[in-house]
Amino acid sequence: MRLLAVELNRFRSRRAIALLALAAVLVAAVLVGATAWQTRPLSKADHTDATAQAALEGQRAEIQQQVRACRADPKSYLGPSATAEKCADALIPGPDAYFPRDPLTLRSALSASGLGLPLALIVIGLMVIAGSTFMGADWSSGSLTNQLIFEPRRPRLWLAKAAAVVIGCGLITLVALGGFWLGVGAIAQARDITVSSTEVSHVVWHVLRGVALSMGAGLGAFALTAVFRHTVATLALLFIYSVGGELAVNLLPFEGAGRWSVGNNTFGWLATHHRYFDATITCTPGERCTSMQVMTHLEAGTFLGILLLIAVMVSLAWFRRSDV
Amino acid sequence: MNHPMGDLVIETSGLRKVYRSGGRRIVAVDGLDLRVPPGGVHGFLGPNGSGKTSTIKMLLGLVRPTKGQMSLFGLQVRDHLPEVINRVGAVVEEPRFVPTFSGRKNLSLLARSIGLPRSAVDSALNQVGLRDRAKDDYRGYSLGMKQRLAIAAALLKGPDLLILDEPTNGLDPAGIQSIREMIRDLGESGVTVLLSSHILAEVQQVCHSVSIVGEGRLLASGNVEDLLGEKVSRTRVGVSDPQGARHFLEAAGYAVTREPDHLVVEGHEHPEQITRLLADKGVYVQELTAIRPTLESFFLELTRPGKDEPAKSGETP
Repeated sequence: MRLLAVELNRFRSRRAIALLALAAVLVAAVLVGATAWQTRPLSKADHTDATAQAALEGQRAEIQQQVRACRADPKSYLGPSATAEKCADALIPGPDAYFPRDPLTLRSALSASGLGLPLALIVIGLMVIAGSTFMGADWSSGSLTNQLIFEPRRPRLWLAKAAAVVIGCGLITLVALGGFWLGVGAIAQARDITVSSTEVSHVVWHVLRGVALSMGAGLGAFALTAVFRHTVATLALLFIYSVGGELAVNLLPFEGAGRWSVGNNTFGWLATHHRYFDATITCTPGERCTSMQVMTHLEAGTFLGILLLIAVMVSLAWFRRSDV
Repeated sequence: MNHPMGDLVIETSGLRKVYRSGGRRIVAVDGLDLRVPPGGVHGFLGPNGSGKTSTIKMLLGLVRPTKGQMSLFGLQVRDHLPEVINRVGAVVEEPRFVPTFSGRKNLSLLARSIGLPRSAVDSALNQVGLRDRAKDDYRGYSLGMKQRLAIAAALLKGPDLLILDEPTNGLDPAGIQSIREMIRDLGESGVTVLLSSHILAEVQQVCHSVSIVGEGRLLASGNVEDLLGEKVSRTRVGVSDPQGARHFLEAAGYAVTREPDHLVVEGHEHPEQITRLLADKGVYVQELTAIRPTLESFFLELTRPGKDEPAKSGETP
């Protein structure tokens, strides 16, 4: 515990890491503002414009023709329970289709078009840099030599540093993501928008998964830097793996290779439900298959967890034996 | 200088370190047998690339030896490093600290990692005269201040063995003197100091004993006085007839070098042999000065390229 306290102190005292933490919080604050702006309540003018556009659209000949055809045979248009009276409502767009923006919901903020997922990715990226620079600075300054003269049990030192990275990255991410969602929740409350318990549950689990991924990403970057001894080398390797890996996955000559994409697995872990297009799955006409695939949290967590485990094991073994 | 095996502070036996770089094997240490007795200041000398730093790093567990044994305080380093390292303070190569932390912060983190109190940091900073600048960032320190901080870190544990690799690098003359006095005081207080330095005059002033290494092997070891005493003495001789004197001395079997205004004679045991010989031949000596060998001249002769001499020792075999 003494060594862990020292490493936590070292982690929080590093200026680069303090700047990264500040950046994470600032990005979260900016995205709260962006979410508030993008979902701001509609003005009277917005309503008037949308109503006018809907009326104009409803008068178009093609739409009117479709409405007439629907009234003649509503069941083929709208299903077995349809009646002719429903055709106009179903086929002529209402004013809401022409609103310039959607109202705020937690679900939309957490969707692919929302800002919740991009924030999580940005914060995780920052924590990758934090984990890497924490170890990289020890190598580049040479201070690791002094540390080992005081604590020569290398696995113990490695574990203390790793624990500091995990705790530090987790806390920073919790503050950034938690702050973002509290901000979004506060905006929703101020606008009298009802938030369902399901939405809250999805957000809470998303934040927890984001924190876990951030801890793992920071730890992985730290572990790799313990081997490469250079922050830039680690970040370059991760970049090459991310970009090259995506390309390789798409070029692999077997079906379902999208399962092994880092991007799909990352989104699969962070998103509430992640569906992705797998170009390596080709469906012939008449065959019961689809290129749209689902990545579950378990699948994504297993994939990312195994990558992390490999990095940790290699790093620990290497650090234990290498010359300093 | 005979010491029973368990009495030595540092002992290596057949220590070897081979680095592999780009498919090449580089032998840094080649069967080094090093013995450092307790107390006093022991010089560890050798030209660049002679294996000094590799040896120090192996003793501190920073580098794994390829072969051989090494012990500190009679305990095998391989098996007892965590126990013995608490009794060792060290400065290896140049000072190494986190640049954006203050001097105090750097020391505090090291001290707290092994449970040392805050007072140990204050004491170490006082000892090297850095207390007034302890709150400044390390990156703003001069080279001399960095060196002092490194020494303060080495002193933190109140070590029984202090390993210092070029501790006066970058220090001004006053700083060199104060560090030298500190090293001497530590040596006299019972701490064993292993001092690796290129400044041989400094080593000669401070060290009680030395080990000289070259190409990873021990070339000589022992008390400074014993080692220098082994050297063949040289004497500066001033005479009115240098040509004649040279003739008589060479005929007697001495090596003579003619300098512009004197002769340098080697191969005799006592200077009076020269005066007696020349007086017998009717040549009267005007000047007779024993040229005292220095550690520097001894070191340079021992480590001269192409020199392949078995290890000398001031110790009685």
